[in-house]
Amino acid sequence: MTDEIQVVSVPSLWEEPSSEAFESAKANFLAGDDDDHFKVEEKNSEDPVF
Amino acid sequence: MTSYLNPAYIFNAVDEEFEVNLSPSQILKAQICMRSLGYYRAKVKPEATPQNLVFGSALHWVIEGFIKGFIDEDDMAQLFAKKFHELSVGKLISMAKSKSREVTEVIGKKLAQQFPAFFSNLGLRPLIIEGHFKLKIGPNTFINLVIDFVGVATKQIICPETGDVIAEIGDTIILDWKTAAAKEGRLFARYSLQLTYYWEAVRLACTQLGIREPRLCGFASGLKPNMSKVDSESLVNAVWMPVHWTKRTRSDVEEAFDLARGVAARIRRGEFYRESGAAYNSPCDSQSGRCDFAGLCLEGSVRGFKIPTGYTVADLV
Repeated sequence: MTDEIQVVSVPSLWEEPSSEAFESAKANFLAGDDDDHFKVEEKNSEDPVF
Repeated sequence: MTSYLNPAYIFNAVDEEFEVNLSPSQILKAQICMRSLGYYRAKVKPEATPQNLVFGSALHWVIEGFIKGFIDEDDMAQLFAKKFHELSVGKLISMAKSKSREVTEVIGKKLAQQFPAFFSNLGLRPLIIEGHFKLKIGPNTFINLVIDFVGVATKQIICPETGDVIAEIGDTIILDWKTAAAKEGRLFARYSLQLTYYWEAVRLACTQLGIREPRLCGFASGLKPNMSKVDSESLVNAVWMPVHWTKRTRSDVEEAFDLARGVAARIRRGEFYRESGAAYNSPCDSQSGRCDFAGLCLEGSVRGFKIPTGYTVADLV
């Protein structure tokens, strides 16, 4: 049964940003610009489906 | 019955062509009450946000920031408090009588402050942080997962009971950050469906990602002691517990995905039955506040709920 399972999407492996990009990435993180998943919603929730 | 009269009724059956997107949260809700799952999928929510949800979101944020190198060890407590405040502003927050906002913040600051040492002791290098996976498990049926942490062991992991090596350097490890009043039991750690879905997602993706198949999984549990004052001595019990490492078998995985397909089939058939249970410890117990949708089910009232645009009471009850 598990043979029927297909991977549709996977995340990228985490790579530390280059030294030039690090400060910008850090600033974005601290400002909350890249933290959609930390909006106060339950994780793994999807868009409305009904 | 209503389905024949009201095509917008959220509990109508749908055909096989309808795409069902599940998540571990939805599957776990289905095991408690299909009616509650129906409301969850329709995005009907209580207006008040549980304080525990705000707490968990703020703690996950500082953990991610630390692991990515964006938050220094010395700033963990302060930035937890800042995020906890930001996420609370402008919201109606529901909380336990015994645990005020101030008490919750003190506990969160302690756990945030301790996290760097806890994480360092695990000896894991991050591979995936808050990673989104999507699996197709059947025709028009998908599971979406967001995995807190996948890492690679930088030192052997030893079983504390037997002294056996249970993971070698380079092995792939899956962790989920949890906070609760008590550490999870061995049975829950062994059979938690959430970790089973994570395990299989990582296993199926490992070739594509260029990593080893998962070797161990577990919950990293931060304890939230029961305390009612910010200067309580019980604060000393706000600690990260040693991980109870477990594995998943093919049998575990097959059972978990059979269950997921079963939930999808029930959704398609419109089987959103309530689960009264046999006694007062049932999911329908409104005395204990166990059901988030008591007002809707009991009185057909939408007061106190956020209802997505376009739905009327007739669509929901």
